[in-house]
Amino acid sequence: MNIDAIVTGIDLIFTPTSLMLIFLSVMIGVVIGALPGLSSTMAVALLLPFTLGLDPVVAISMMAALYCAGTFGGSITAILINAPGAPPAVATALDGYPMAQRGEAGRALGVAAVSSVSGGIMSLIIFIIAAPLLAAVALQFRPQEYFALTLFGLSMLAAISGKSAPRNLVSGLMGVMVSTVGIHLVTGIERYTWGTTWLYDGIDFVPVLIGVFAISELLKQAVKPETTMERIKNVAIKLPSFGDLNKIKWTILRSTGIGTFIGILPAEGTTVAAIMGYNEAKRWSKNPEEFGKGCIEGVAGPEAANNSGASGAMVPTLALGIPGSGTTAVLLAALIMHGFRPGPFLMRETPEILYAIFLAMLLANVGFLVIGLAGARIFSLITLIPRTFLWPSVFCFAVVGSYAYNQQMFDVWVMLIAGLLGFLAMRHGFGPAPFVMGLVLGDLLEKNWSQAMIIFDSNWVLFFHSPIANLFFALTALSLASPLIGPWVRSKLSKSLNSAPQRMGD
Amino acid sequence: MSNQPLGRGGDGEEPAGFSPSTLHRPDIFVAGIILVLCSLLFARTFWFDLVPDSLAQNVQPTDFPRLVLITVAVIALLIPFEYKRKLRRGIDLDSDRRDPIPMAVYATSFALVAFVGITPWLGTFASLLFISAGLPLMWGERRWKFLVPYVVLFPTAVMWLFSVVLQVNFLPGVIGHIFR
Repeated sequence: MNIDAIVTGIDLIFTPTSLMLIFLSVMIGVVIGALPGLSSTMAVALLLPFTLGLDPVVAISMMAALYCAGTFGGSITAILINAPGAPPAVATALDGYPMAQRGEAGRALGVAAVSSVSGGIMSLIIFIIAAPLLAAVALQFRPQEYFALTLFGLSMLAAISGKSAPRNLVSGLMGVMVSTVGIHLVTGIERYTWGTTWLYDGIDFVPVLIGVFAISELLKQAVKPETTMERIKNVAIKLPSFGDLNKIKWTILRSTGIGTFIGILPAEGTTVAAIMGYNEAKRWSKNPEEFGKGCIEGVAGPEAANNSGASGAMVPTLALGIPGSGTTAVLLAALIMHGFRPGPFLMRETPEILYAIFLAMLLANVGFLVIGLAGARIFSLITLIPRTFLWPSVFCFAVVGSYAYNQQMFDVWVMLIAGLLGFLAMRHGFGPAPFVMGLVLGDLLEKNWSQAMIIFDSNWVLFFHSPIANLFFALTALSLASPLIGPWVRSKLSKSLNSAPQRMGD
Repeated sequence: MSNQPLGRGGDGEEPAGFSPSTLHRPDIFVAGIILVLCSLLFARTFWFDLVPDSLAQNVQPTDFPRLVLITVAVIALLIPFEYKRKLRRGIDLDSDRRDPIPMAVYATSFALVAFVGITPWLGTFASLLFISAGLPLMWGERRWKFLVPYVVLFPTAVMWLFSVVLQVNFLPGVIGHIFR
């Protein structure tokens, strides 16, 4: 453990300005998380231009804190008004809202807060141990192994949440194509610049990220009617009793493990973690029939899983440079923008960033516990902001944020075009998260492929001479086949389970 | 994206949008567009400048984009066959696109393009004022007691934050610099 780096990280975070900025990020994260339609990913993308003038370590720490707080913020509105502010909170609403309806909103919020914080802190400990170890292993990787790992990361898009694996893959690969615009690093040749100097340096992530997340959603909101939600009033926050904690302790531990593991897998993210956390909590519960009717395990499971997934997703992002989720793909872009080199070299060159992020996320976990418990009712009122004011505000931030990046209107046009095309693509099932993953990973993929081809003198067979690369190629094939194999395996299993009682009766 | 199962019912009727053929027509168009796009981008690679092999070190600038485009094209060929398979599992791939795009979305898109288009002439601050007033009004907001303070205060706060605090130079336009 690098003591100097730990001390530097602490020094950078524990200043009044940094603490204030991190606290501000936590507040923004909880608000954004609480608002349906706005996501942590969009918030981190919009926050990026604001952080340009800040110390890079503080900037990244702010975004990590926002990410953490956003995953919790969604549970407030999920419980109080059955309108999950963030996709991972959908599973929380299944039992949280029924609890609120029978007058136990405070208890539900207390369970959600304690589960989130417990899961978050436990997985942070795993993160701080695993990330340097993984980075140390990855330092041994040669270009062919890195290429295979990045390819595996992209192939996981086939299994990401969404309706269609081929669409996710096409979306991801189109993101990779956008990353090829500009000057080719090996030969210096212009690619897809169409004779214009604006595209010499390629298409920047930030305007594209803002466009595909913020503008596409704005266009969807253009036709949504204002909905009056039934609000739970007179909420008194109640921390869980010892009896409740005893009942949910194994659920929290189990969901933390699930969430951390899912978070570490490339591309999966907190939504998948939350759903799996809920399913496993139900499966292991002594009273599974109570799920869906207001069971505290049904709140504790997804909450512990989604927050631990957030920390887990930081592991591959920092250690390997492969994003663990859509939001960490944006964080990865932020790291690159601020001059860091994500991956194993990050641990070697700037190890203080790891400890700074760890501290920021730890503070965020404590911060949203306090904010959530003290201000849950106020945060639920955030949803009263009419969309006729909310979304024009988002557009203003999107325009100004895209412009502020390089101070050129070209980026604003990129943002707008990305948003318009993103909206059309989303209608046909092509999601923004796979596209962003492809955009962020494309450069890494091509760079390692090129380096390997140079070393191998164009003999691509040599890619398969590395056992580690072969392992990742095999995992790639498995993840590409999983949308086909998964349902087949499930149908075989259910057939064998259904036929077993008949055989026993014979 | 929702995976709402369709009501299959016992009446023997096929769900709306179900086609008896293996291919799904909207997805044929989608795949077609992707293939046309891939073809155009692939053709464009023939316009890239050539580099001697010794300088290129076995990695021509055309190689990687072509590989990616071929992969995209192959995957795109699977898209038209997906609908029926997903429908059997209760996933309706048409749920987000069954209804035509409402006029409000076209109007909003046109408005967004117009707002960005006039920004260089009008200036960033004036353009933000215009957006803050125009979009809510277009979406039916008529509560003037909220709208007027919002139009005055919000863009001013955003411009102040970026111009004064973050030191960003915005386009002055017809009204000139206000925050410097």
